[in-house]
Amino acid sequence: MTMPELKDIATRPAFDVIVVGGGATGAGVARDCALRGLSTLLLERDDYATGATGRNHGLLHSGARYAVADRANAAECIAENHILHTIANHCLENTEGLFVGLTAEDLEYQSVLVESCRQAGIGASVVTADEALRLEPALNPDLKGAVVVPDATINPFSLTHANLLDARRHGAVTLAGVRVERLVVEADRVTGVKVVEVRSGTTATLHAAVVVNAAGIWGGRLLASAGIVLPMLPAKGAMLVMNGRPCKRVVNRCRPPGNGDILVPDGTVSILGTTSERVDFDQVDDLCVTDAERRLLLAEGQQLVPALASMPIMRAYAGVRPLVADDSDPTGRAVSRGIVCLDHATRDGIDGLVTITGGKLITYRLMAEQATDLVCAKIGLSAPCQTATTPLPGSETPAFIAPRPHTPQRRHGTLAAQMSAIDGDRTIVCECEGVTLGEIRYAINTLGATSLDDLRRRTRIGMGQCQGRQCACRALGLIAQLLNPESAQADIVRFLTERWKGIQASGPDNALLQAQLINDMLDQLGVGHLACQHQQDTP
Amino acid sequence: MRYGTIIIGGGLSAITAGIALARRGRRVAVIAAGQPSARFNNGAFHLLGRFDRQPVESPLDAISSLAGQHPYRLIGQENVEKFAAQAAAILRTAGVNIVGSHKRNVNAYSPLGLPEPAWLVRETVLSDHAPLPSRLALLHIKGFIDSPLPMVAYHLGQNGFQVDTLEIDTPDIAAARRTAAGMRTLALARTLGGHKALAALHAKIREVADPLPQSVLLVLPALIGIDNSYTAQLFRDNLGRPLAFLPSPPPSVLGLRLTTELRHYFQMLGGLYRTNQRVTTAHTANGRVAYITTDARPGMHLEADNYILATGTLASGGLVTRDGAVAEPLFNLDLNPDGRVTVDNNLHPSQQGQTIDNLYAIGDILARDPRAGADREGVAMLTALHAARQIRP
Repeated sequence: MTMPELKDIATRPAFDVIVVGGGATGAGVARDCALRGLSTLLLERDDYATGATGRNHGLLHSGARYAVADRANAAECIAENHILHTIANHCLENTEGLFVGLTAEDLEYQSVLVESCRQAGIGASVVTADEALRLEPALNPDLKGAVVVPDATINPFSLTHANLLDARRHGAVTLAGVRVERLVVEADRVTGVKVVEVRSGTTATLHAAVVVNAAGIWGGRLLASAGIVLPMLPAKGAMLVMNGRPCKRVVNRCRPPGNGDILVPDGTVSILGTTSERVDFDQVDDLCVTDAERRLLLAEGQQLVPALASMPIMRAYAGVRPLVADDSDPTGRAVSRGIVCLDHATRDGIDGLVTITGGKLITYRLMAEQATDLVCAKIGLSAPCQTATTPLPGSETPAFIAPRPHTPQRRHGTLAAQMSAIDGDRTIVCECEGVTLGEIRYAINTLGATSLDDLRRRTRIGMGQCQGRQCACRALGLIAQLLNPESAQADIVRFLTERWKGIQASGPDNALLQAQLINDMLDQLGVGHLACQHQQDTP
Repeated sequence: MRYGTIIIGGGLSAITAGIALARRGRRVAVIAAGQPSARFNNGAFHLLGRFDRQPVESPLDAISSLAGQHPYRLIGQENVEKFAAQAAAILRTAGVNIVGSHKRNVNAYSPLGLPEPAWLVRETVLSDHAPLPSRLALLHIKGFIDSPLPMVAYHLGQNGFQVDTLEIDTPDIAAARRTAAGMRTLALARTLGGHKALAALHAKIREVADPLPQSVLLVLPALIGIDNSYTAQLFRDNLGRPLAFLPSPPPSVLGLRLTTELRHYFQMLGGLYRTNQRVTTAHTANGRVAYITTDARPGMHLEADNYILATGTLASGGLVTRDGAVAEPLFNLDLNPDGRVTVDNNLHPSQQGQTIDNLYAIGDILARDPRAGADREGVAMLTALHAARQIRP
């Protein structure tokens, strides 16, 4: 199966819906629309799950984090948590979570937290300090107490691709690498979008009855092209990938949300997060983790889990929360909590346009449902939403028993069975993450990967302990074989540049070592002189 | 325990120094911490392949442009020439089947199929040491993914060759393909190493290549001869048509073979090779190393008349970083601003400005000229020989 290109659809009649943005929310909207029988097109400017979706700590909230400050939000979280355990079980790891109290103030907060969780319907049980240490021996031995909550972890890449896959199965068309330049407005009505295919520069105008803006932080710019003002407040969150998994469970600091208060396990590594800092719009496409953020996260994280002090940092990354200013506040300073679903006909007098933003990764499905309900109302279709009960591709087995990590089954659920059809498909390409040749073939043919970085997001290749040094070359050969060799050499330089950015931010010690290891490898491939060049060119 | 010379490190420079000393009958021990870096060798040896990223034709001519701290400048032009010839002789005696000379670089093809200027290259490996035909046929072992052949074909095509790709499959290859790890370079090389498997591969290559004219050079990923060079030579010579091997990315057959060949030669000369031992402490007094200890027997003092430090860079632990600053962890040697060990003309490093008379630093750990490229093997072997020559009985 080959993925459609812009030229294949430019001549098609108008769609019912065009969804702008290929993160979890956009993918969820496309799936919901397709399941309700709407002809659907999804457009993503880069690759799927490259924005906030792919740049968070992968926590499947129980809602406990919000229970004290925002009970409605917390109730949404726990409801969606239960739904995702059914419809997306292959994307989850059911780790449980702990809220750990280290000080007397923490313990005061703990009693408020437990009561708030009870009212929001979140199962929260208090354990003693000894019990907490028995559950998680790596916790700070001076802890005062802890609460066990139903937190879990989620693979946002698997989740997004499962939604996209199901959307395509129900007739939706999804295009990556197509940037929406602006909305087309005719007589107070959005009738379509002007787009450009990034690779070729081809432009086209595509039409739809309704356009859904699911472009996250980039959606403000899209709306501006139709003269609509939606003040968005980019908030950067920095995270460190720690090379180890000291705790089985998600570990939260038991106090009001702050910096460096969460450690989320992810396979054999852990993500230490996060920070929150307003950034300018011109920074959102090129975020890097600063020295100060790294030190702050480590200092706070060590209080929870002392072993983090001596644990190597593999890399660092940052994402942007798509926060929206509250419409009721004329100064534009107050942030709108929870899901923001806007009908621009009532808000701005421009019909045919829906914005879905705010929210969290865990509420992506509910966001999609709300946006799709609005789309259906505009089109005059009364089709019920099925996404709360229909399992995603890969999660069809109700009692999904999570297979061991680092297998295609862990990433693709029941779909992994089709990845060993061809003789040789079981050959391991990436040892760290257990990516097989069959999985690579599947990621290219069925999930539309066209580069090493695309492969990484679909299979986790290069995300393990070696950070791609062992497998990048093999994967490159496969890309050259399955796609085109012309782009392969540029691709490895791009891939390593991207990895290098994350590695540099992980701190000077690891950066120097990794640079040496990468250079040694490139030397043996005969492209050492290219490597020097790109590392010098990358600030 | 007392030795003539203790060499700390197990890579190409360490083993070269060991061989040079053992050849002269010295009592010498090599203490290697882990996997030797020679495992990453891809069949080519570089003296000075690039300067300012541009390919170098004659390494000797380019040496005078190097900065004064580069090891070649410390050793001196005359010695570079002499040691380069000696290094080649050592490799040949160890059974490494190389061609090439320090007078003029040849192009050795990398695992990606890119020509890279080299001093020496294994005679069986694809290079232009003898004129290459215009037409090549890449032999693709079905299911083998460690060698990115489609990219190789593309790069060779860009370099003016007409390139065909032929698929090779035998029952042994098919069996390996059905396992998770059987198609990795070293596993497949072991599978193909048996007499029957080699014969089947031979027959298959002959059959598949039969329609092609005799002048076409067949190119096979370097999977033959994991222990020695003769197997690869025999395989090629008995094929009845021209064949060259293309290195695969590390860990490669060629790298493993080099490690084996050098270690066997060193041991045959009476050298002591200790592996999986890390030197943990070194004690100096009055500008001399008094003794060292290792993690194998922490209480035991290992003493020698001379010590050679060949521990490599950050990748092998010869250097470490402490909050962004590079340090040499064993002796806390003086480093240059690039974080490499500085030495005098005799390769003696210093501790807080004081030269250590019975210590030599060699190989990757040494300060360089950042404009010099593709000089790793040359620096490793030539500094090893320079240090060895100064160690008298």
